[in-house]
Amino acid sequence: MAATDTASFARQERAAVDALIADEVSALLARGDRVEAGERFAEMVERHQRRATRIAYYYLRDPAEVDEAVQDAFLKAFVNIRSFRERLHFELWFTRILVNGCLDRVKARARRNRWIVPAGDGDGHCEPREELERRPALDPSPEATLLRAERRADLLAAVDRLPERQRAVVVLSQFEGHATRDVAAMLDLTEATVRVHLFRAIRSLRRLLGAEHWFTGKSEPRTDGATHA
Amino acid sequence: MRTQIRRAVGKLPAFLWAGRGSSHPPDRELVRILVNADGGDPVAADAHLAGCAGCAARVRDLRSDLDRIAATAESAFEDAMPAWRHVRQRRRIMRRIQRAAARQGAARILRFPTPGIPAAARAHALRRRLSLAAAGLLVTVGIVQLIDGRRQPAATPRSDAAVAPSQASIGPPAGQSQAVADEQFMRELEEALTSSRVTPLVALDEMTPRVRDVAIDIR
Repeated sequence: MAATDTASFARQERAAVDALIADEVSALLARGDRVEAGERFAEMVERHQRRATRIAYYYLRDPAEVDEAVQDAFLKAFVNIRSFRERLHFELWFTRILVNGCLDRVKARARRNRWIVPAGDGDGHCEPREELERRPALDPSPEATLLRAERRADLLAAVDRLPERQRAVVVLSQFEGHATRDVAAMLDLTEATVRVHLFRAIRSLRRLLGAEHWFTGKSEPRTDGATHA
Repeated sequence: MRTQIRRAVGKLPAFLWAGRGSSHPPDRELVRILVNADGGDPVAADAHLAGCAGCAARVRDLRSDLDRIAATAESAFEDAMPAWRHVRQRRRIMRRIQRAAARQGAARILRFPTPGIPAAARAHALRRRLSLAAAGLLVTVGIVQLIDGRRQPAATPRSDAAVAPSQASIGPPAGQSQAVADEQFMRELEEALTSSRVTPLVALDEMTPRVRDVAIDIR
């Protein structure tokens, strides 16, 4: 419980600093000090870039496209910073911009793939073996590296197979550790709906990933009944 | 129908568990408890889990499995997006933001031609252009008609020529008509020779030997 409180306090503190920077940038823009406003906004970029890139990566998986999506989101946030209201934390407001941008890109990619036959995979994804060859080996054993790459590929493929809303909820809630209330604000859903999506997403992930690789087996997750005496 | 049956069967374990207080919750119920705990401790949030060490262990295992999934996703991200990519990305973001800031601050560029012309004047100009276009069209049609009208008489002899053989067959004999044609040609030639001279060509004309003179010399 103490850890939860600490995390909540840290989040509040982060939000307060974000609001301060956003106010300053807005004021500078209103005064016409646009270049200075851009420089001040750099701090905001520094604070949120990594998290934004991670979210975009779970959606897009193609590093070049991730780069573009994150750049676009920051640019959009800067240009529209005056429409930002403190009712929503900057982090939530910005994440909403980012997620919407990523979804647009995913849809555009699906449209492209309907008409264009990709050469190879074409999706930025590569086979585990190719990934292994592309990357310097961190493990002493090539088998272990290959296995790890396969597990990642399995996981990301399973996340890709989730419906749009479920994927968004899993990424923001499970991978990024946001509270249900925040995820609801980011996706413009009710908290109850977020919980339903999360419940379905976890169930789907367990089914897609299979017990033997991902789940410990202690809980016998594939059976839907009382499992221990 | 099948779907409804399947749904009903799917709900059965939860229903049975809810009805029997002594039984343990199925996995899907544990997932529900975990989700509802919203990051907090699910064991403390549920009465059954608080009293059942086995179920508490199951839900903690589930929690750790999900954490493992998140950690795997994180490591996949770390590998795909190394540090140098972040540095480059930040540089690009800042460049775009500086450019956008400079563009917003720059003087406004007005478009050309004048977008500020009143609507009435624009409508008048449009009407004038349309009437000019219509007049141009009429003139073109008139000229084409005129040219066609001039071509018509030139085409008539051709049609006469087309019927000529039939007329020739009922006309004078061939030898006689040839003599008439020669006579006509000579007359036209004579007229051309005696007609008024064109001043710039007089000198050239003087230098040109005449057929008649040549014939006299030969004699």
